Amino acid sequence: MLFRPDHRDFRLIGYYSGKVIFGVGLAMLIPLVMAVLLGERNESYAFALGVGLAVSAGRAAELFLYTRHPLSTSHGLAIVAASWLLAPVFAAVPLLLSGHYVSYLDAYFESMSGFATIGLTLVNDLDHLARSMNLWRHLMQFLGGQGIVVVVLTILASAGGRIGALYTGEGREEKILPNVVRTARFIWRVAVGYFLIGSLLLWLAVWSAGLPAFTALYHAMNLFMAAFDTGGFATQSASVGFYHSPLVEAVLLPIMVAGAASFALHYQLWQRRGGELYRNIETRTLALSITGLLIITVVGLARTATFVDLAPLFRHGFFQIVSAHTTTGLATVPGRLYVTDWGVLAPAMIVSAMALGGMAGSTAGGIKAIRVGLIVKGLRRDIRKVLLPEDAVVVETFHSTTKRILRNEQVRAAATILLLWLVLYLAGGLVGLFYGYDLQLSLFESTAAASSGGLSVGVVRPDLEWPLKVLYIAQMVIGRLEFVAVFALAGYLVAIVRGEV
Amino acid sequence: MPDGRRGADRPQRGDVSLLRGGLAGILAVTVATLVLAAVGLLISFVVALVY
Repeated sequence: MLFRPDHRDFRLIGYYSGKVIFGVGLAMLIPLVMAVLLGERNESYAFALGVGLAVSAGRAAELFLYTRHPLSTSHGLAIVAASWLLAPVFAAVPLLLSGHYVSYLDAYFESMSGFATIGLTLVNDLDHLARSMNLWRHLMQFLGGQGIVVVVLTILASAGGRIGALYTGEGREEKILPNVVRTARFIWRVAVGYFLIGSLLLWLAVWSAGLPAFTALYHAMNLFMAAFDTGGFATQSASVGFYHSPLVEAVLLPIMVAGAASFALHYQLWQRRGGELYRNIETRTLALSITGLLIITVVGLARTATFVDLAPLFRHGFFQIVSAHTTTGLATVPGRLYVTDWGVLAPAMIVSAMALGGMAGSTAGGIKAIRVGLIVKGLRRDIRKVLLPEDAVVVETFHSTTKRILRNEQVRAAATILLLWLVLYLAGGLVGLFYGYDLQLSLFESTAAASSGGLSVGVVRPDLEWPLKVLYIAQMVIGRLEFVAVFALAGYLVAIVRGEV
Repeated sequence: MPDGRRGADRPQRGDVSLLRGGLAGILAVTVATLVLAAVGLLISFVVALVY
């Protein structure tokens, strides 16, 4: 059957995207209230305008595009992609009006970086950005982060075989709870539960680092949203390095790891099934990968003699590797140092960590631990097949909530997606080379944008060439939505271009 | 109701208290991170000894 969408399909996509934009408008009320309370007059107007635009556009889409056309998987995917492209259009309005962004493109870049939980920033003079505006940056990460988990676990997982091999590549077709609404509710429950505990701990840590109590609370909440949603924005331009506090870093570490853990795993942990941590293929892969990359980073840093003592070497090395591997992007050292002081081995490991990423079904980006784990298992099975007698039946299993038998399609799908990721990273790096950046710099920044890692060596800055800004925005969307949703939207758009609508 | 609670009132699989579940979750993740850090630290010492 040919793919022939008609106008009803587009109405449907517009209708649901309108709902998302309306939601973004409502969310903007939070920084608006804060701006009014703190007497930030310019920001109050900016947010009022943002709320007005988003709410009216969202409402208009809902009113004019209402249709009874039934929702299918391809609609769901296209809606997700359209929403992620349209939400930043409205979220960028108050940012632009803050006067801290050179152009609307920069504000859009920032909003996309927020919603896609990347962490790359184009803000000018972050340290003097109004509090309400900074809260909005972090809130976007929280909304986008939790949003993408809801999307992945509900729309994509419930579609099951429909999306075909691409998503079964995650090795998990089941939902964590029997229905979509309960799954979504659990995800928000986890977010709120961790928000309360995490913010409290961070508040105490930041407070003890010497900030006034109220300021510390504000920093703690923003830090939590940046860490748990693996976003990576920071309230200060020095990121976590601003606090000069090992305690703050120590509290952030488990929060970042929790953010990169899949919600299926959180579900097990909340049910007090801690054994899952040890058995799960993803936690094993992630632990091994973090440890391996950390060792090489430590060797690299020891060789360059960047740090005189072992304690700061381990402290910064470990934090940076965990931050990169969970694709958070919080930093304890200025990004420029990776190039000037960290040699070549340690930065290469940070790029690898960002590229590999966290677990599937979490807010983390990157290739994902499950795919790496499945491919390694597949390789092991093939090697055993070669070594054992020809008539031997070789069965490989893996643990993800329950024990499962490794199927050929899973390995193939995981390898396909892995290949797409590598192409995405390299393509971005290639364009960076075209604009004259070193291989190291352009690959670092391209991987940071696509994997949602968000650490930067300084290529991303307000006076970056505009085509590169557009490229990084594209990489953020494609990486965040893991190709499939973008392909679906592209399918609809191609149909328009061909005049098939 | 003699045969226990029914329908919507009945606690269902997946209903966990916000604070208890959250504490259990973050505690487990913290322990895992600590183990990871401890292993990393140990290996770093060995690496430092070699270099």
